[in-house]
Amino acid sequence: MMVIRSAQMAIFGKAATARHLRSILEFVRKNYPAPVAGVSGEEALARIRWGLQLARKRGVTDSRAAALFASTLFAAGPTFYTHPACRRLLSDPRFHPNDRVFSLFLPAAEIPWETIQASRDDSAWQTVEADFQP
Amino acid sequence: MMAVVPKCPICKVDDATEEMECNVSGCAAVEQVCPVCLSKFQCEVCEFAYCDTHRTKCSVCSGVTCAYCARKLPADSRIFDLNCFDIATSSLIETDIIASCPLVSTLPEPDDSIFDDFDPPIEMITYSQSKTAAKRGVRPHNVQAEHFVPNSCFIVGTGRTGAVVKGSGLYSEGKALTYWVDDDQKAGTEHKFLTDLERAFCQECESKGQYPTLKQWLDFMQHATSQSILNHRDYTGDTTGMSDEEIANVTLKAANEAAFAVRYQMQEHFVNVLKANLSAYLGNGIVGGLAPPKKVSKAERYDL
Repeated sequence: MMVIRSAQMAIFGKAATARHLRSILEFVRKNYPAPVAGVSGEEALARIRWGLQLARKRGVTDSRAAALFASTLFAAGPTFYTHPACRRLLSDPRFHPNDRVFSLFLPAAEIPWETIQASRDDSAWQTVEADFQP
Repeated sequence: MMAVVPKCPICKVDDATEEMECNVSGCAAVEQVCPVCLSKFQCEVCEFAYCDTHRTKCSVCSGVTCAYCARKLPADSRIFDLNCFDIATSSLIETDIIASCPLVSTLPEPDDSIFDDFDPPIEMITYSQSKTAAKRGVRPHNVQAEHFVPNSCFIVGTGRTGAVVKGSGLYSEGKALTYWVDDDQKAGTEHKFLTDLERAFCQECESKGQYPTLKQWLDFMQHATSQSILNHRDYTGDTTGMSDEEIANVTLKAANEAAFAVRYQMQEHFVNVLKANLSAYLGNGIVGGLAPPKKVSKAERYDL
């Protein structure tokens, strides 16, 4: 039987993570081109990593939910989750953190995305850049 | 004196024999319509009826979707139904690394012609394809698409959709392979028979605080399917000149072969298409149980 050592698995893991980050970046570039225009690939990847970390800190375990959270940082601004409408959904104790993220995309939730985008504070990305210097 | 049935207010042709009651809690919308027009009120994802206010169209597939199954991305005016949203965001799923042998080396490939040796024959189809068939009116009457492993066991949290348990790869309700079984959840139907067995299995796991793996589910369902085929489908193979005992033996053998062929296709779909891990622990969602914890302890592993 073929044996894969944990060190070898770690290399596969690293490659898979890098591929995952690139997929999220492609998704962001395709769906929200304006916020990433003029941002270098490395910077954008650092922002995505930060977004994934933020999602995981909130208990999100599903990779798609975490990636959607991270991509929304680009779409609606890096502090979108502090808006009362988002905060209410993201802290709803009735649901699993994964479902809380998915509930942001329910039209019935009536999140005022235009208002959130209008008041976006892109200076918050500076914190990320300080944390993730390449 | 016979009561006069009013005409359907939508088509104004057929009798309004059906009641359309909006499925949104708190919405009091009720309308009497004909059976054909009732389908226009039904969400194509969850199949429940919704009033005009709580129903919309998917911008991608133009299918009818409801307030619960619709999704919208920020800065995007399009409305997606759940299946189209799954497709649009599928690239965001991190694929798990599966260090196991390819399926072909673990299971012998069956002869699928066994599916035609039963009446009704066994037809494999994804849940989404089944929905589309229903929409186009080509799905046989009184059948439902049976998920071989219950959909709710893959979902973290409640409901039919949402995040899936670790190791389930690209699984979603729509992408799962199913096969058509007789009728809905009424007593005596094939669907009810299988659901009862699934519930019993899940209940046992839940009462022990254990989580079966995907492979254990496939093992269990292969045997359940064999029983279900025997009880609900007629064997149409050549039995001329055989005694009753011989016919029973041949039928049992064919049912076992058909159940294995169903399991083989299901496993192949899980592994090769959905990139699911056969060792993934599933939740006991069908009996209201929780999804497995991040790390399943030895005591929490189900011993089949």
